[in-house]
Amino acid sequence: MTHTLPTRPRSWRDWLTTPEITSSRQASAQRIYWGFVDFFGNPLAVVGLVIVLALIAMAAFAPVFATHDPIAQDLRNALSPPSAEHWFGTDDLGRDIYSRIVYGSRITLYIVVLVSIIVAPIGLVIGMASGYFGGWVDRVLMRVTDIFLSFPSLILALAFAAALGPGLENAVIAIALTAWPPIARLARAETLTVRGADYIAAARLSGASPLKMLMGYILPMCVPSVIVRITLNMSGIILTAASLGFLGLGAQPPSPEWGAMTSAGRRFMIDSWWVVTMPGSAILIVALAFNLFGDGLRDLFDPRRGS
Amino acid sequence: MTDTLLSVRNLNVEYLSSRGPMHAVRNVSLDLGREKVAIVGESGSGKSTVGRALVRLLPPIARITADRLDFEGQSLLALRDKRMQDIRGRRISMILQDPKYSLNPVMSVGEQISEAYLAHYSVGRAEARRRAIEQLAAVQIRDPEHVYGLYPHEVSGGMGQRIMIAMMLIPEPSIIIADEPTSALDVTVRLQVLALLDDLVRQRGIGLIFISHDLNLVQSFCDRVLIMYAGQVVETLRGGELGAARHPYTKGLLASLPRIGARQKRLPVLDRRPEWAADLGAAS
Amino acid sequence: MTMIDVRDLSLDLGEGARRRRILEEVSFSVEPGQSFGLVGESGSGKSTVLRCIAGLYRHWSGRIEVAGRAFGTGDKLAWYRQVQMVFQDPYGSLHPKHKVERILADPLRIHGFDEVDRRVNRILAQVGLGPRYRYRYPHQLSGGQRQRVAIARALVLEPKVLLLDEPTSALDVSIQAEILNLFCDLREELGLTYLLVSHDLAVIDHMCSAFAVMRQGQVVETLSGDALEAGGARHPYTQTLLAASERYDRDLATRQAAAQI
Repeated sequence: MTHTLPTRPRSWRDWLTTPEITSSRQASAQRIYWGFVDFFGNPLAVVGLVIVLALIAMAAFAPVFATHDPIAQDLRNALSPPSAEHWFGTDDLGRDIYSRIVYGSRITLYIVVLVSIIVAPIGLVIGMASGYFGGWVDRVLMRVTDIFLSFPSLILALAFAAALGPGLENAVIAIALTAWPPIARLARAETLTVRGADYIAAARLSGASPLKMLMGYILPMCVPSVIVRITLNMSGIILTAASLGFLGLGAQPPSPEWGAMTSAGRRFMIDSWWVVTMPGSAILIVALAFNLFGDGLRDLFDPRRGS
Repeated sequence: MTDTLLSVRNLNVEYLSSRGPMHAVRNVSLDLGREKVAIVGESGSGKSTVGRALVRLLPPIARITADRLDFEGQSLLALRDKRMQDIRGRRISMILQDPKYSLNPVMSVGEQISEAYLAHYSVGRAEARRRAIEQLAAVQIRDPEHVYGLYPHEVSGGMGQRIMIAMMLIPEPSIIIADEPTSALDVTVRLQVLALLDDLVRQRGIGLIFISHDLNLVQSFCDRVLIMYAGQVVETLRGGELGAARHPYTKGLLASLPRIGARQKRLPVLDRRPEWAADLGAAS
Repeated sequence: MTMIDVRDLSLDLGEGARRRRILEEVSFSVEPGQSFGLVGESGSGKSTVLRCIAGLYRHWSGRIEVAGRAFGTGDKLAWYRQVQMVFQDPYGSLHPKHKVERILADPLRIHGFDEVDRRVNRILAQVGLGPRYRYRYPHQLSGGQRQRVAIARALVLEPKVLLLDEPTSALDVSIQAEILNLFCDLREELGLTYLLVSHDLAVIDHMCSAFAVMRQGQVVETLSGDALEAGGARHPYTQTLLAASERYDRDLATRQAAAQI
């Protein structure tokens, strides 16, 4: 496959901005580049992204960021306020709260990523199949979705804890099982909108099989809103995990899961405010960050933003 | 025709976007009396922008400037937004292309007309309903009582446009700006709606600005035709005299239209010359 | 042998009390290499006829034959190789997330064509777009360019029949002329047969040697272009359509309104 280049592009920047496009890779790269440019024009979204990246960095390099061992107890220094040595103070067992938050970011990230990876494919497949095939397929799948939608995640988690025993993985499964229905409904709604478009009719006329239609034509139109929805949901996932931790159903002690920390800290709220406030603020900040980031993504994927 | 309702000199509209300023309308001038004036152009010519600029219906990133923009002797440029709101919709009305998007889908059409009435005149609800039915009859809707209770999705395109016209006429405007009012309508329905507009304009002495892309249509309907290209008025013609067109763009456009009975194998294609977009400069 | 033969095509939509007759015994035929028009207003069913012939709607009754083969016999892919469609809205007929290259190559790959690359380049050249458009996304193209890509997509499988659903209604007047000329050139070059749907009698008269007038699901009259000019339109609806298409005429409007009462 040979192409004649009209002019040699002078630099990366040229390559990314020239209207003369000579390869498929270049077209995709340009699209991503302009996406970045537009995204970075939105300051709040950038703030969200920065915090999310900080979270990832903290999780990846926890031993570097932490100042103490997160599970080392020091009963002599129990409940000491924030100081030069313990930046966020210590909890009732003398453990350094700052280091626990740093290591706890791993758990938070683990939960969020795992839930998203489970929820997105399930929701997409069910939603798209429902919207595309219609008829009894739609009815059956939507009733199943309704059933799952009607479970409060906490109750389901309790059920799972009873069945499988408490633990982080089981909490993740429980959250995932209640988080996929909205994604399925979203995917179904997008599919219904897209289904009547002329380009879908044209694809049928070119002989595309239902599988090819779903994967190649409908999926790309559903993915943006699903990504945005999941990002916006992440704050909810974190909070649900925190609630489960609160109830002792998620990560088990001495795991530094933020929700469990907040729960344990309730007892000392009046006199040692830092035990509850620090992990609570961490949850708040990260949840907010995911929301801002998700909003930014949504603006990015808005089809009205055009050439 | 002796009284000038609207006088515009060198209207300019600039969009200040993040990718640089965009000059959408350049030095457009027109005088409107109690007559029908058409503004014709293709997409991107700026014709719709002119219509909206006159009533300041453009987004905040648009900057509207003009040497003169007088309505019934009063300058619109200096008006505060609140005063402009009084004029817009009351003294100067607008009709848009698709009634589906202009009518509130969750209210019956009769109620919407009543509401428009109540907004402009202090009368009771029963009186407003009576007047609304009167207006429906005035725009030649048969069985106005029945149509009063219909919802927008239950009426046809032509009827929807008549309803829009009825709503626009309630405050008794001096000027109507119609932006492609018949483009979404069938050809036979179009005739009826245009006849209606024609009668109303004549009977009530309203000035009509008719924005369209359809050169053939406006030449038989309007008294004067302004042809726009790349934001400027490149030619002004009297209705019915399109044969006298001088500007190569107008002539090219007319030639590229298919006509019933013209036996041509290929349509002449418009050869866009860059000099047509050259700045014509301000009118004196 | 006719290229397209439609006989007694009928279609209903809806259930029970809301059942509506969309098409009523529509019949017409098109010779090979001919350009035949279907003209009518909204609700006439003209676009529905196209979709039935294309194979997008299946629940009709009657008979549709293309190149001697009846619809429903033989496999679907073979039908799509003969009959393709160009849609009205250039902004809606191309997948917004596919590059032009994919839009054109997908049908070829589905049908197992060889030399996909060469064919894509060739068809792009035939519709007047160069290879530099290969890697563009639809939102980077103008209305006229998008329509050319849509035409290229329709032609890439080398069909015999093109169904054109108001292909220029959404385009500017000057672009319309270019696209109509392109259609004429392609028909000659590739020996295609056209079935053109439009509400615009002028476009139909320019492009087609004969046409059928449709109203509320029925064929009201079938005319040749010469007959139209010679004043051969018999049915009052055709005459109304003709008169209304030419110009705005106050008296005509009055007569029309009176006639409807």
